Amino acid sequence: MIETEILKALADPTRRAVFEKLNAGAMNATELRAGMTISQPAMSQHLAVLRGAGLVTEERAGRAIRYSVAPDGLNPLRDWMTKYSRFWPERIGDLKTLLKEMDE
Amino acid sequence: MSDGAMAFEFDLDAAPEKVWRALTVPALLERWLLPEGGKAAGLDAPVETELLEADPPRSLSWRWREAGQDDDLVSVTLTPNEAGGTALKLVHMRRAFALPEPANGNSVMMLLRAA
Repeated sequence: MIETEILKALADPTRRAVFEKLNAGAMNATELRAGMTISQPAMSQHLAVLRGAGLVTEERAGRAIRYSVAPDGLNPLRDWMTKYSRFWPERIGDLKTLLKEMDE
Repeated sequence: MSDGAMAFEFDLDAAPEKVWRALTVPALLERWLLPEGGKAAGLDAPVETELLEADPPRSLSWRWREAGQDDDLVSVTLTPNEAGGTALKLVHMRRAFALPEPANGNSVMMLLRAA
């Protein structure tokens, strides 16, 4: 499921740093590597994981590739959280009702 | 809160021992959480659960799987509160979270708020 892919992608501190950097605006891989101690192949691999999770998109202009944050990339994760942040309080409400009906 | 997991806390007007029964006796569990067939109210798909750990009447954890989804982990902790009831803490996390804490301590939750 895509939520898990998103979480796995963001569980890595380097990928999270890359994703946060891209929140400031589109960049190419060289710009992304500035200030980070990371090889180009490693950066490519991190970007591939972020793209696979739907968090980052790439745009080709000739030989240059620019990466940017996918606007709706975090939505599946938000939806999952929204669902369960409603689910558990409702179920606990039912639990409270049941506790009143149970014998000691 | 650990990385990205959702944590809830509720106060219940019953002692931990009684809450424990509601959490572990199948006939009681199905009345508030998992009706027969596993189709919990408010979810689109049936849920399959498996009790992974139980330390009565203090803590338990379930493997939690909505049909067609990944495995989640739901952990419940019961603590007596000052009113003679129980503080119930519930943490729901996706298995992807069961990774070592990242060194920089940024959480996905923080990131979600900032995005």
